[in-house]
Amino acid sequence: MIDFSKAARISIASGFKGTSILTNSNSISSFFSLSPGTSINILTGNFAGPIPVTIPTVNSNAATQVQFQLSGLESYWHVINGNFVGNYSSNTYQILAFYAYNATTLTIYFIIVNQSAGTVTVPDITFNCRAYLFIAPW
Amino acid sequence: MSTLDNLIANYSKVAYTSYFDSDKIIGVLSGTFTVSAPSASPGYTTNNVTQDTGFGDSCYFQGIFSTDSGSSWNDFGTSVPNTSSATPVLDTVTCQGFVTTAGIFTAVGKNWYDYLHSSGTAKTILYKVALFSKINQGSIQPLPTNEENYFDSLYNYHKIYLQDFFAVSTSANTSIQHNLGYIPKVRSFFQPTSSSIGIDGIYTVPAGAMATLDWWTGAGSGASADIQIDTSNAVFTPIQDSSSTPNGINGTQHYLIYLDAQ
Repeated sequence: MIDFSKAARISIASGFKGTSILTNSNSISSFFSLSPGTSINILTGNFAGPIPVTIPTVNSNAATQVQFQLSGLESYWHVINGNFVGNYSSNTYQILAFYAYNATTLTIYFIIVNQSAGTVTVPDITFNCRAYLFIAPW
Repeated sequence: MSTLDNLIANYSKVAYTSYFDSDKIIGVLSGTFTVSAPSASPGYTTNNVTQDTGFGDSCYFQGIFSTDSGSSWNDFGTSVPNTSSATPVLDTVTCQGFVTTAGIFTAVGKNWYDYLHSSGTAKTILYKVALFSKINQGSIQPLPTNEENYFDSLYNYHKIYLQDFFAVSTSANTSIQHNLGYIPKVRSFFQPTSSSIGIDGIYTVPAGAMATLDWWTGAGSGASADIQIDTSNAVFTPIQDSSSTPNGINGTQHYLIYLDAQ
């Protein structure tokens, strides 16, 4: 038995493997600009996308976290917890994010859904993405 | 600069350091199960499998799953859109998990009917899960492992800068200040006080079970849980249920903020 009420307070324990970072740098990143320099209109009940942003990887089973920033809409970054749904411009449109990966590529999909009764205009957005990779324990 | 000074100045680049906590993997699980073909009504099927960790306690975890025998992988909770036609199908198939207070890990598969193509096919889900100790883990017996060496100085281990948990009982955001000056990796888990149905309204997470936030993110009628990160703070949007009630689901939210390696 391991008393984690004590073990959890130490930085490492030789009995347990930690999660190690796959790349020399902490994360890998990529970006995609939506119609650079041009806003897009989305008709009622319609959507734009999926907009894929791809990041080369060097191993499968290795993504511990994917983050993105919608530059042009907001300054902070979001964590994709399985998927992401965000409402923008007073709920006139939604932005959804999903991702999957194989041995060489991580692909993040963005979809913009018109939720208004009319046409919505989506501003220029740069989809900045990055992923944390680790050496999977399996 | 001496070797020691250089080491101290670049602590985030060393394999591990006693100054910061690290993730502790206390077990690895895997399995396969099939979710039957859905029909147009109700539009989905579910299935689940359980594995007893033997811990008698919940813990953190990270899970991945594959529906093509391991060629491609998704993290738990994601539902990769079907882009085979001009109109993407958003809800396809996903796998999620939770660990109960009794230490039972449950993998839940959900398979949605494709209304666009009027089709539903059975899906075989292969999943893998790494279990991590939580900050308030008690005395447990970790699962046996075949790893010969636990730590290898060749690798740079994730270092935990901050970790703790807080009670969620209102609809107000909770901001945790880190002041790292960059956007860190942030992970979070949630334990609902009482059993809580996921935002898609299909499957219920038991009271006290440790679950990842994907249970409460998505296109349900309630607001999604979210983590917003800037160079100073991590802001946690409270868990909301699927019925758009004004207040979120009560429970305990755990968080870990990691140091970057660069």
